[in-house]
Amino acid sequence: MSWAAHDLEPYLIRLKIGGAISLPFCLLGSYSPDILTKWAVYGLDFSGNAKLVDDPVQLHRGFPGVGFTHSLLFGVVIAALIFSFSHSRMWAVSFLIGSWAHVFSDTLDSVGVMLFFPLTEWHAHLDVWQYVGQAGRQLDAIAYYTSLGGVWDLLWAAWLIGHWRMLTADYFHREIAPKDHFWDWLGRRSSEIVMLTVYRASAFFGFASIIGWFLWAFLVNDLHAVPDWSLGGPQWTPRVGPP
Amino acid sequence: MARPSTIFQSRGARSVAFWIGAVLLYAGVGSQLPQAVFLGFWQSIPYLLLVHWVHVRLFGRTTT
Repeated sequence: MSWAAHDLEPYLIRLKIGGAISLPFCLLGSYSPDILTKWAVYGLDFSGNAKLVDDPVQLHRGFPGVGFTHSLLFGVVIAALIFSFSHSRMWAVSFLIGSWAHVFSDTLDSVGVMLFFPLTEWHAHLDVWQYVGQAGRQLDAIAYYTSLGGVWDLLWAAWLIGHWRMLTADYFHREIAPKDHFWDWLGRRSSEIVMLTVYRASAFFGFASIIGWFLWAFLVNDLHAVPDWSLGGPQWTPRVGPP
Repeated sequence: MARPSTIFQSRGARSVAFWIGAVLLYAGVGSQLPQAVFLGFWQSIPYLLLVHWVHVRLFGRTTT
């Protein structure tokens, strides 16, 4: 799984594709595959000892389980629902692209995703880093940020820092708000501070969590982890493949 | 007397520094208490609302 990449990708998608993308719906799509299930994968506490299911990998990425949320069809179905209710092609397409960005990012770990479900339960997995979600959030954070997963997050953060002006209020008022009716709707119900908070929240959290998790993984926790940027790393974690 | 453009650039630079400090503060707290602030982006929203409120008080409505 990817961590902060899911928070940052939609901003750069919006930057590259432009006004055809609704950032809030692209973010919603980016969060959608995990939004209702991650808590069950990790368990109820930080340590990972309060397990809710016997096989978190099967639950998260398999079938039976909720692995269908990491398929291409899931994004299409939810986007179609959004279009049927809103009649906004922009919102539907933005959700779809955000969802697919999440799905393709998650092909990089060792478990991968059922891209073409329900046609097949075959998992696309590129094994760039280990999937460690079954061990709980604590170990997963250490494994991810000491492996190429952390580098993946850094790449997205560096790219967005290179375009930091898109996070300014000036850019928001000039380029973002006039091109998406969502901001009209929100503006009628809230203040500018709320609108800017909503616009920046995911980027802010992405940057802060990358820095914080790196500090925690390398300096704070008691496992004294070291970087392992080998393909499929880190090597100290148990090998986990598709369910 | 400083020219208006200089004042604006200085205020913009201080505003950017303010945001970098806000990110680093949140990241620092998260590195000590990840379960309190790093479970999801929704946990950052109260802090972010406060930061925006302070920013307006310090800098007024700026372009950053």
